[in-house]
Amino acid sequence: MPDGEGAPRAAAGRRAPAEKRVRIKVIGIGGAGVNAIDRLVQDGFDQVGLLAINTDSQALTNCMVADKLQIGDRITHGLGAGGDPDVGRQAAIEDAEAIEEAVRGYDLIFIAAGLGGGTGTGASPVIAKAARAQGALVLALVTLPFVYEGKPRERVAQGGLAALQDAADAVICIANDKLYDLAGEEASVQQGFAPTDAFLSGGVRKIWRMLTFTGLINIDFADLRAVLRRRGGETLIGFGDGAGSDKVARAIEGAFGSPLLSDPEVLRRAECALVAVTHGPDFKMSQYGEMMKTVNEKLGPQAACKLGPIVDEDCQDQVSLLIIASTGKPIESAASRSGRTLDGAIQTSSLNPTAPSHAFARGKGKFQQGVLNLNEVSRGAFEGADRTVVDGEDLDLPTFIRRNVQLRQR
Amino acid sequence: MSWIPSLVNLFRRDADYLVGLDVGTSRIKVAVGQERPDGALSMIGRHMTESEGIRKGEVQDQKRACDAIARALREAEENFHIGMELVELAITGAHIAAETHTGHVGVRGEGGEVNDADVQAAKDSASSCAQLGSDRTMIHVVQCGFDLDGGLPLVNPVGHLGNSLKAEVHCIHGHQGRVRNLPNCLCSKVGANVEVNEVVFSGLASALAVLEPEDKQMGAIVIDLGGGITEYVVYRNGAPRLSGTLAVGGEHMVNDLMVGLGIRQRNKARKLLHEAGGVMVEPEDRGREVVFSRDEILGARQQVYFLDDIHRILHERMDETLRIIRDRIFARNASGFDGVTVFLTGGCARLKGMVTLAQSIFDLQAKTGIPTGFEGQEDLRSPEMATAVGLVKYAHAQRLAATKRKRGMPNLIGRILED
Repeated sequence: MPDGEGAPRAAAGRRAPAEKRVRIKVIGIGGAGVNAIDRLVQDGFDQVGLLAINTDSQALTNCMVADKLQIGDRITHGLGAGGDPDVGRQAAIEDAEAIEEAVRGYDLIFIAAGLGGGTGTGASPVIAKAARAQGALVLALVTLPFVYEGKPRERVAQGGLAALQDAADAVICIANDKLYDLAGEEASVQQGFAPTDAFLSGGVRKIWRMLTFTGLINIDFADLRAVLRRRGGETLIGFGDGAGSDKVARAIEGAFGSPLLSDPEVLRRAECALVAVTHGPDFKMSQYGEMMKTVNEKLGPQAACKLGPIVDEDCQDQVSLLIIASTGKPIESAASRSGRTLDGAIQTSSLNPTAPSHAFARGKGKFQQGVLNLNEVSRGAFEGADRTVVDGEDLDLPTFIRRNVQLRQR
Repeated sequence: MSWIPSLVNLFRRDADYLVGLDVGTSRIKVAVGQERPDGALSMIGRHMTESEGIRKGEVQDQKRACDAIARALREAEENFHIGMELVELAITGAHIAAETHTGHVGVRGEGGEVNDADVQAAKDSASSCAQLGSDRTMIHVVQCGFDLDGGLPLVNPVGHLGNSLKAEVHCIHGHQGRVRNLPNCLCSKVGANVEVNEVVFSGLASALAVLEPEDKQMGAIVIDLGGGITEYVVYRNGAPRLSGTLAVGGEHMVNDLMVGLGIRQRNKARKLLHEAGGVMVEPEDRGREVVFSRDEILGARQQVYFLDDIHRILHERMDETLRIIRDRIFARNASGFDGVTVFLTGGCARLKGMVTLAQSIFDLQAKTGIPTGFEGQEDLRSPEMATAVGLVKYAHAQRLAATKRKRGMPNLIGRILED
């Protein structure tokens, strides 16, 4: 398994010192949300706080997560919200104090939920709001119902999504149909749901790793916040792993084949992106270059990118690629306050000053810039025309970039 | 006053005009010539307008391309007070490819004397080696030369005695659908009301414009560096032996400048390319700055660019482009290029340092290709007019050949492209 973030491995990697570590909690809300964090437990991922919240006491009992919170007992008598988001919302409001207690003292809170039902749809916005009020950055990973579940459920889900978008810093939203497409027509119902859980738990684990391991160029919490706290737009995430001789191609295929990044049009509108590449010490610069070239091409010309290569000793002959992008506009005040905006062209201020760039300098003089500037690499005038590819090189990309020629004015 | 041209036209026979139409990625160029009573070619003038809807030398937006072409032709008609009926059209694109083939036939002429039928059979046998796929169409079959029974090369074997006739032909072909795209823009619905006489590969047209017969004999590499695409044709022993395209051109340089210098407006990058462009990084560039005001009307904030950055970006692009072309040409036969000259045509040939760069990469003599072989009109003697002028020369040569044929001088039609 190419994943390097399983519990035993993680201990061997280069971890940030304890006091710098970002405090993270993952909260699964409602049936689908609880299933997703169950999956995290199954995968042996226990580096972060996990909490299962539901109105249905029986579903909670069956769940493997140690930390559980049953809400709205007085309204539902432990029988679930019956598909009514109002009940879900009331239930969360009723147990506001317990929720507040549960979300206190965290830097980053993930909310995993399936929209369209009662608890996930109704309670999630309330919980997100409470978490934000406690100072956490709130990232919600939610799924939309299958089309066959009908229009009413779809409307409920859309209402919940809107409320959640108001309440959370960022919402990553995937339609179940898309995930099901990925699983293939022949997948059984249970297999059909498995990708949902895998997607939610995979996203959480990859982000955790990105924040926890110190990379050659460090992507830190402030960078994540800069991407997530934006005005409007969509938040996109994709990840892929690869091992062996074709690991680069596999990781790229996985990341850009994932349901949120598979639409090239949306990707092209991305305003900013975090690109984390976790690889073993044997990873070659040429492979890194190949990966970045593809990422370059897929993202729009205006996207400001921050790249973070992370070396994990245990990832011998493996590579994993995580891309988080947003099509939203920057929030001026928040950006200037954090002083780490990713907006606009390459800015050295978006570089972590403590992050060493000498690691690149060692690579035969290649990639000497601390951060590769992906934001302006564009097909521009050649949009709509066939690419000019000679011996595997895309000649539409500027020669000076492909040849790594340094300019004075950049 | 639109009646003036039509009135004038009453007194001119339109068919006398030879019109070359080069629809480029950046500009549309029209060259107009005329055959003088003595048979010589006299050029009347040129007209150049902005092009639209063309990417990498091919039609990308038919509506906009049609409009731009119609406008260019209308303006040219008004400029020169002529009406156009027939044009020669240059065609290019990444889909164009070429090979040289040979074919052998036994001489069937009476008494072992080669006749026209033998020549045709030998050429057919050679061109049939091309074996085009079902989606390909032949654009040109240029005869390169013949020999009889392995003897000395012959330009025209008719009348010679021998048993086995060998023909060598250079076949230029393209994608069936994409070859039609540009001619389709000229059909009646455009309103230009002109007919395409023949489509000619741009690279070949440029070569016709700038090469003298002795250049072809000595050997020449013609590289037409256009806005969206670059064509190349290699002449050896009087005939084209190798040709092709590379879909890289001036627009790539514009794009490179935009990316490298953070310029947002394409027009501004174009202006920078025209005014400060150069492909060699000279020591004296260091520290020199190019000042551009952001908004020329308001005279707002100024933007300063380093000249050595501009030249470095362009150098890398042209260095790469020429190297790719060189490698393709030399891949077949790296030796025996002594005495061959590189001719640079197209708008980008005017960039400072191009000749020096080409000279160093090819290790051959290089020069800017200037259209020749006609009288008058000095403004046509510029490298970017090569294709359009070449089309006019092509039409002229074809007409001459037709006249000679009428007078009973056989077998010259195939030699149009030879001399």
